[in-house]
Parts: sequence; C-alpha cells; structure tokens
Amino acid sequence: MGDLAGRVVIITGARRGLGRDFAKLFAADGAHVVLADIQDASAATQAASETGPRCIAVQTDVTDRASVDALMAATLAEFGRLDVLINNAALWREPESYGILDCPLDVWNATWAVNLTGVLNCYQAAVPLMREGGFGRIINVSSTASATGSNSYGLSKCALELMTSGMAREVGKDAITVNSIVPGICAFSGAKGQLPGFDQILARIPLGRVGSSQDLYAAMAYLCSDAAGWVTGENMVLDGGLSTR
Amino acid sequence: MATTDFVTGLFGLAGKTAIVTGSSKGIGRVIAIELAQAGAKVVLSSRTPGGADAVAKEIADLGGEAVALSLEVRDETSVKAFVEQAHAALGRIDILVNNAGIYPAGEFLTASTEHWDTIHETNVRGLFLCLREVAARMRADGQGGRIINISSMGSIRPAAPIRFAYDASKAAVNRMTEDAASAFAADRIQVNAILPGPIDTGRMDRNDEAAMKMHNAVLRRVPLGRYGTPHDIAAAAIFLASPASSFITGQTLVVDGGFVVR
Repeated sequence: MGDLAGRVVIITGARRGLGRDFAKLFAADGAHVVLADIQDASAATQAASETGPRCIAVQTDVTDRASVDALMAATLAEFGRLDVLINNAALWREPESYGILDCPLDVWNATWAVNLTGVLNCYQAAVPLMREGGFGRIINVSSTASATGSNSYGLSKCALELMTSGMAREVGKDAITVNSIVPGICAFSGAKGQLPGFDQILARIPLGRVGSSQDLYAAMAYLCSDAAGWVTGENMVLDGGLSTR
Repeated sequence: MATTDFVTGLFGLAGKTAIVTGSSKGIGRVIAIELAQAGAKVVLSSRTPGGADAVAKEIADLGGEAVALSLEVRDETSVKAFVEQAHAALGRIDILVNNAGIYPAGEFLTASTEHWDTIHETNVRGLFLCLREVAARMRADGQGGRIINISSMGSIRPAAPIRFAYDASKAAVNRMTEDAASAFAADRIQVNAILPGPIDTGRMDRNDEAAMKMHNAVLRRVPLGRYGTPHDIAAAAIFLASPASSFITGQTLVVDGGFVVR
C-alpha cells in the first residue's frame, strides 16, 4: 500500500505552494516527478530531486494543448511512461477576490481556462500514455469552495468534481482511476501571512487545526496505490470535519 | 507491503489496537486480518461463541495478535460486556471498525415489520451501541481514536429496491457518522464511513443462472469492470485507521469501482 517507488508522476502548478510540497513528498516516496508550471520550476525541481530520484521541470501552459502535448513528449522522452497525473494548477487568489456580480470577464474566462480547460488538456493528453502503460491514476485537486457558488473559483471547482465523475466513468475500462481531493483550509510549508479572521476559522474546524501538504499527500498516496485500485469517481474531502458543522 | 520508512509511517498501524465487529467471515474477516498485518492487535467478534476462533488462529499463524470474543450487537448488555473485555484485552482501543450488519431482502408491500425492525436493530441500533461504548472508552483514555463505520453504496444510490430497509439503515449510519465526527472531534476521535459497492466474497453459486444473470448485469454498471474484493475494503479501512488520514473526519468514502458516479 502506498508504494510509489519508480512511478512517473506529473504535477501541474508545481513551482510553488501545495504543488511544490507535493513534488517533494512524491519524490521522497521514490517517484520520478515531472514539475509542470507556467513559470520556471527549476528551483522546486532541484528541491524535489534532493529528496529522491531524478525529477525534471517542464515549463507548461496548461491552457494550450500544444504546450501540454510537449509536456507529455518530454515525460516520455525522459522516463518512458506516465503513471500518475496530479491536476493541481489553478487560478485562485484573483477569482476569489470577486463575487459573481463584480467579476471582470477576463478573470472569469481565465479561471475557466486554467481550472477546467487546463484539466481537460492534461486529461486528454495523458490518457493515451496511461492506456499504453496499463496503469493510470488521475487526481484532480478541488477545494471545499466547490460547495458554495460564491465566485468563479468555487464554481470552477464544482464543475471539476462533476468532471471527475465523468472521467471516472469514461476511462474505468482502461483500469485508470480518476478521483478528486477536496481540501478545506490547508497551509503549504512556508506559507506567509494569515487569512483574515484566522482564529475564528480555526475555532470552527472540529479537529482544531488547518490541513497540511502532508495530509493531502497522504490521501493522494492512498489513491495512487494498488490498494485503491477500485476507488474511482470519488471526491475525497479533507477538511478536519469543517463540513460536518 | 511497504517500501520505505516514510510509507510505513503513513499507513502503518504498529502498536495500535483495533476492534472489528462481525469478523468471523466475509469483509470483516479480511479487514481484521489486514489490520493485523499492518501491525495492529485485533479483537474479533462473532455472534456465536467461538465463531471467530478460526480467524484468530489465522492471524496468529501470520504472526499477528488477535483475540476472539462473542458479541450480539442488538443486546446492550452484550455490547457493554464485549467492550469491557476488549478494552481489558487490548489495554486501550485505538480503532473500531463497525462492520457487523445484516443484509436481508424484502419487497416493500410484503416485508414484515419484523424484517424492518431486525435490520434496524442490528445495523443502526447495534452500531450506535458499539460506537457509544467504544467512544466513551476512547474519550476516557484521552488518546484519540478512529471509528470506521461500514455503510453501503445503497445508502446514497438505489441499487436494488428489495434492499430498501437495508439501504435506509445504511443512510442512517452515514448521518450518524457525520454527527459523531462533530461530537468527538475535540477528543481527537475521527469518525468516517466506507461505502462498499458490489463485493464478491466468493460465496456466489456460479451454477445459479438467475444469480449469474444479476451478477453480469451489475458488472456492466461498474466502470472499472470488476467486482470489488474484501481486500479493496480492507485497504480503505487501513487508510482511514492510519496516520495518512489524520485530517479526515465525518466523511463517507465510496469504494465501488465507480458504480455510483453520476
């Protein structure tokens, strides 16, 4: 269970934040990680490689199918196959700063382009490689913001969870599983500053703490394992019980 | 099973203690064996005294530790005595898997009141009694804990109307899971449910034509194209019992090969 040694894992949006932590954790567990990011992720790649096997950075614009195809080609050239795709890249801060009424159209469009079209491109490009290899695990990183329709970010994550179901149904026959993790309030390592009203938020989380990159990684390690080979289409909420209140 | 210390730390249960109710056969038996293989000392239960002795021996032969006790979850006195004995045997209860349950079929218009009551007495009232007694011990011992309720995919999607009473009982289990998670979070007791899809426990008669027809019809609806095995459910139980899931509570984990995906 949780055996990731030698697996080839693409993580999008891996230059910083949670994606960067995920890359280090997958590498520490023995996986080759391909760090895809719209900007240069070589520093994060260096950090991941220090903890485990060889990792590479591939600068990728997930909204551009040609760029995503180049990511897959680079992965194949370097490691010869693809086992796991973590769709982590997303626009977050700016879309969450507007409601629906005030959301500028360019922010709205950019949110859907990255958070959904980006996933679509990576999914369409990755599945043939996974079919070839006879093993596949796709994990979409959603958010508990999906439960509210307050802004374009939450709406895009709501669509992503439903898309997860559709993908799961579609590629099940290829023994590829597709699941989402749905983080609540989580902090990546080295996160600066605090959310406004942090103490009140903390008081509402039943388990009394925010989540960590490690919490999210652990769920992904389970979902990527052979032992979770019959789990698909699941949206796994990791929120310390907040949604039960 | 694990390759690195990191993974052993993530999913390992060394030094932990667990109760698995209804573990003389089927899914419960495999959950108990795999929890023991992950390092936990396990208390087994069966309705008939001695019913789980063979499983205890199986675990011992694999190098694990297990104690078999008898338990009738419908009987409050039995539950109290069982939890008392289990606590004494284990010293502390870290993990409870509420697996004991029954699965009789009945048509809506002809099902007896007794049919409904028996299912609910076992699957809802019985689970509540075990949860109450064990959570009280966990709280008193102050070490936190994990409670895993075995529900069913039938609790969230209709699969077969002849299981209406069973499905209703499992829907109640899901709701109780959420409320218990909220009630016991401050004690660091996490409560989650596993919702298995169609599982092949190896007891189906392959010569029974009607059963095979049903079997194949179900198979066509599972995106991953196979029935689940008790091992699939045990793996989810290990995940929910292990350090890997320390931020997850009040959740229902569907393990069904994609059967219920919309």
